[in-house]
Amino acid sequence: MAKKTKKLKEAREALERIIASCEAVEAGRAEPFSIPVEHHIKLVGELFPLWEEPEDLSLDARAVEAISSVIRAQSEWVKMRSTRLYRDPFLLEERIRELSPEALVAIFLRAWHPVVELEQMTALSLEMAIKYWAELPLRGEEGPELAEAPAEAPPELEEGEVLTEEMQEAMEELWEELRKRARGGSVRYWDFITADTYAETVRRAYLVSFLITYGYASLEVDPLSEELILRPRRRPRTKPREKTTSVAIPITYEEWLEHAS
Amino acid sequence: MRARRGKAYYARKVKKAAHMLFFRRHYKPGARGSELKKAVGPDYLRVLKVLDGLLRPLDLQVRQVFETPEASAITSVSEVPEAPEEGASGTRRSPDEARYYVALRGTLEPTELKYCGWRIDDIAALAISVATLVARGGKAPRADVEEFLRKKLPDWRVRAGLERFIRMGYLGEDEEGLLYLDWRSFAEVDLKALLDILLKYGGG
Repeated sequence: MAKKTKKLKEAREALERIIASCEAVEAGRAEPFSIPVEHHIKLVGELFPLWEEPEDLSLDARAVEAISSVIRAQSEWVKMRSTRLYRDPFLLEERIRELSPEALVAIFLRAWHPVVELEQMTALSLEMAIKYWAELPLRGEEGPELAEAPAEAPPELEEGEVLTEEMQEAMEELWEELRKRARGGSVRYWDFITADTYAETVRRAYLVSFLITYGYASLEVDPLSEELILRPRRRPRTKPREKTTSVAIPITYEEWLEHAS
Repeated sequence: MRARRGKAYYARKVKKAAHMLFFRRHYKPGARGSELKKAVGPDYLRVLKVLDGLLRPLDLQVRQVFETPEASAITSVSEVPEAPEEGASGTRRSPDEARYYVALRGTLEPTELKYCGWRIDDIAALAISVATLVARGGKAPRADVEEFLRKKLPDWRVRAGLERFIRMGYLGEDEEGLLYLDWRSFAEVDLKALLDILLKYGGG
């Protein structure tokens, strides 16, 4: 009995190894022809009479599916090498490594023909916008809270300037400032965003939201004072897919006055 | 007997086709062959060829791109046969299945990039990403592409750049973190030319 259990355990491990190696191909970590497909098929066939439990049969099916995905990858590999696009990957990667960004730009521009497109307002999109606006809930009887805030013109962009580029630079500057002010620790959110004018405070809060989204800093709640604190990271978070939560922080004119005074 | 088409007949259709190709109506720009067939008529390929001729002096062209590109070189509509094209797998692909775009016929100068919303670093990152993916057969782990980019660009620009390329449709990312070339790379980049120039650049 113990011998049979041991044999079953070894057989399951063998199937799991097959699945793992096939998944490595699918994930691009291994070459499709590095997998001994014939050997794997033979092994799966030999192990098949051992399976009685549904879990084992399911594992067997997963192994067969994984092997078939490798065969599909091999087929794509052969197709790719028979097309006009195939060049030696090693050679290409070496070329990319040795060329400067300026040279790469010069090369890319000779092969790049951007699509021309116009984004326009149509009667339908206007109608949808009006409907959306009309359905927005009002923010109290007195009207919008921001009405009392002194109007300040947005900074004008010079011809050819791009907002996204400015944003990235502004974000980097603010990240530097945050790191300096935090001195390896943290800084209170409101202390950091509050500036001399309301408009600048909103701008800083807006940029801070991007710093948090892109992993340059984290937003936490101090368990004692229950205040929001910002903690800069030494390097931006490398795993963008970790679980995140959205937090809405209203920045009203009154709140700014309270913090600024 | 086939009726001879007058100038006015094509002028009307060319206008309609130009509106469909220039004005963005969906997530992707341009129009599908089947949409053009419905709006312009069964001779839409001929109409697109007329439009292509009219756009030539403006350095623009009408381009045909299949959703699953088998041929890597960019196809101008003027080179498209009116009978269905034979794909690499031996199947005949109908022009109705393709998407048609208006794109730059020539190329941009580095000084023009700023006016298109790009900076040199962004284009370098796009060039490295696209070339790396083509070299790897069309897809590669995101970490590998990021590692490549970090050798040339600051870390924060790498992350922001990749997100931007994904948003714009140059690259796609699947659930396993694999990056692949998406529709805009096939529509805008002459991949074969890119590889050829990359290998020959500077006498390499």
